[in-house]
Amino acid sequence: MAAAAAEATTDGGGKMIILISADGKRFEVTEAVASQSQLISNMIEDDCTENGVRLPNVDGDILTMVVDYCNMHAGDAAAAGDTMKASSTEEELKKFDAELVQALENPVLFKLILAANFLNIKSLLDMTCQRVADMMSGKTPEQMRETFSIENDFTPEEEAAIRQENAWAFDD
Amino acid sequence: MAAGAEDDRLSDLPDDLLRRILHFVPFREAASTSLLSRRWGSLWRSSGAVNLVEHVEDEEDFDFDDEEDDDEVTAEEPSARRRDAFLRAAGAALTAADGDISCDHVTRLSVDVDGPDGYCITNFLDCDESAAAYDIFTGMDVLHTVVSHPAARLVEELCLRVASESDSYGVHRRRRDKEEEPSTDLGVYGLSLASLPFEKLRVLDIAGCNNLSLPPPPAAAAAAAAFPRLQTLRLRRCAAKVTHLQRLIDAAPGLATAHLESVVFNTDDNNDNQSYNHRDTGACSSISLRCPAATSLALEWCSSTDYKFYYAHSRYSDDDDSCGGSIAIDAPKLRSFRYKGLPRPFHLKSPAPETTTTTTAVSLHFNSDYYLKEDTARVHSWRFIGNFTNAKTLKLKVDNLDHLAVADKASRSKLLCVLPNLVSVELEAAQLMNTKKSAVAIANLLRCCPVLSEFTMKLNSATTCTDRYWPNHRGRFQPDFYDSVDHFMRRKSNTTTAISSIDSRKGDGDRHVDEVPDIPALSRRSFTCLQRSLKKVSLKFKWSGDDCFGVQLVKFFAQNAMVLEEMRIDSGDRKLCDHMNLNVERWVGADSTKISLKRKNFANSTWEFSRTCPDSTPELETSTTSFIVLPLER
Repeated sequence: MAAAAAEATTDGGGKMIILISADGKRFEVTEAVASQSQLISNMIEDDCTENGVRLPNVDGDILTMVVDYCNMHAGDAAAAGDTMKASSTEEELKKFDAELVQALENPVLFKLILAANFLNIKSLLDMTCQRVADMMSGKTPEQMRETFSIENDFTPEEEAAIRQENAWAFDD
Repeated sequence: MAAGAEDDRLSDLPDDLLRRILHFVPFREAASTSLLSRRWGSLWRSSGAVNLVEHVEDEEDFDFDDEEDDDEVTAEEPSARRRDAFLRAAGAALTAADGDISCDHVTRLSVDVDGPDGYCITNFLDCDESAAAYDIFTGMDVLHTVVSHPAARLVEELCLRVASESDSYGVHRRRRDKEEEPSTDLGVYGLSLASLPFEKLRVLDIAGCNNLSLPPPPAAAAAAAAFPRLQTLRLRRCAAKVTHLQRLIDAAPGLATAHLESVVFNTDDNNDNQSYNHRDTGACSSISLRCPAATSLALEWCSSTDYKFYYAHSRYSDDDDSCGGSIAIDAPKLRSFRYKGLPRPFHLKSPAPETTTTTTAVSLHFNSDYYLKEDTARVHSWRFIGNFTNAKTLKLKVDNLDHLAVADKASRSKLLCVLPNLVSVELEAAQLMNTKKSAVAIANLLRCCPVLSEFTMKLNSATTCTDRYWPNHRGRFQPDFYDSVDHFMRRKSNTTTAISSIDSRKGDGDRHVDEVPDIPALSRRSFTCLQRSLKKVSLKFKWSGDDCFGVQLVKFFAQNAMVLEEMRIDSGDRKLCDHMNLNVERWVGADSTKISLKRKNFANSTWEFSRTCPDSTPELETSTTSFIVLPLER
């Protein structure tokens, strides 16, 4: 990167980038950590991160989680290449991931999905989507509607027709 | 929509994200989302994935609503009925997912079958002729029937997982998941890979299958690869013949990642003497794999059904050339390697040419078992490590650090190797039986790494034999609490004893009050990396008094690592007053001639020391003046 960053470099060697959430919170992360977001990685390549990266549709509390996640996972992204940073063990990562997602309230989980999608962090997006999928498994349509407050806009006749069509799914 | 204004519902996500979620949902639930609302209607069909899930029940549990069935069905066995229902549903799901225009094809297919035991599962999966009764399928058994569905022909990711509570030998899953090499087949179901959809397959993930087999390619078509796009292969709790696995790898010229976990290699028998069968048979009970494209390779708890392989390590022999129980890997492009298992003879063939700048991350976890002799472990462990001369980082975990200690000079020159590129080492030891030997082991390691700049040690204190065999009986938290209290009490008394010891020692002439003893195996030697490159040391140990090994190590590195910038210490679980008033100055030996305390910051428990080197060379003195000690981050 030719352009000098406004911020000092850390002793880790990586340049620092400032992420700014919708509500103005600032997060300082290394380039390696931020590059897990494909969006930011592209911005770094285009040299347009000097004045901080504004993320107008990500709240500070959500961005806190995203930054935590990226800091934790910076190791495995670098595992094959520059491994100076002591990366966490797989077990630690799995535990961290499980704890991050498990405790979330639905609205927060959905916001995290939106943020992961916007920032284009595939592993985080997969993990959060998997969590919602896990919440769906084993549930009847009625239970799903209740869990995710989905309103049934079918007429009884339409509903019967769908049940008929996919009878194999409801047999059990 | 009463709550329409709220931005907190699943329905607020755009369609493509809902599809992404549905990508992971089991097939019955996915299809039933069509009933949620108009918008969800046919969304599930275009998720690009079909995740078939089946829980096989015990046969006895199956006698429900028998009365309602007509004669024809009651004649059938319950598992067959169950299987037919599953196949019908699977076929419907695949057809539905394939038929949608907005998504061109099914990219992910997973089949996940679990049950109480191997017998039930095999009974369910082996449908033999009965499936042929249905027009949709012509396959032989459930897995093949499913993967040979037309909708699966362009699948990119295929996961087949078979899991049972107990295996066919009645061994319970909890026991099988132990971190050790399996002695018997772990899978519950025999699988032939011949009829898998190949063309677009990128990821193949198989768990719990035995006899993974792939027929040799027809001689004429030898040039054409059967798995042209396969990049990732993961096998867990599987059993396969080495020849068949090699065929699979050979058929996938782009295979970059191969992770084998708890894979048992079956020995080849006579009826399989094809031309392929050239290396892995014969008197040598060894496993040999050639992975020309692999950049990442993991072998975790892999073993063989050949007792000669499995028990090879139990023999004590000076015969270094014996290849019994050995593993040979030919992977010229390897960049990342992970091994978990017994220290065995290991040969990494065709290592990357030294001219290339490949950085290799190596992670080795050597366990031990009842049969493993210390000498055998020592020889094999160091020889194993010696294969990775181009490693840049090494994570080394051993059950017993004694197994790495090479004390006599002759063995050292024979076993130890120089790892000229290794900059970062993480050493983890579950047991420290003998601190003298542990010190030797650390000295051995330091000697091997002339350019080491970051050294992390996680050393658990000595554990008793009972801990080893019943690890769960080791109450993890309660003793920590007592330890903490104990530390606290001891610290209170420490002040007085320390003073009295100073008083008593003053009489001994001008001897320095240096309570932490040296470690002879380390402090008598000089190490290149300590003189030139070691900048960061992290040390995790259990504090048990000032003469404990961890404290001695702190002192050793503080006094001998001449370019040290940072030392991080974790002396056990952070409770009560740990890290608040540790005697780090004394640990470091700050009152000795070399080092003095510059600043102590109670707020974040950091100590800054400066080094004065009266008797060392001038250029070193100027290059380093201070280092800091911090609590280890967790």
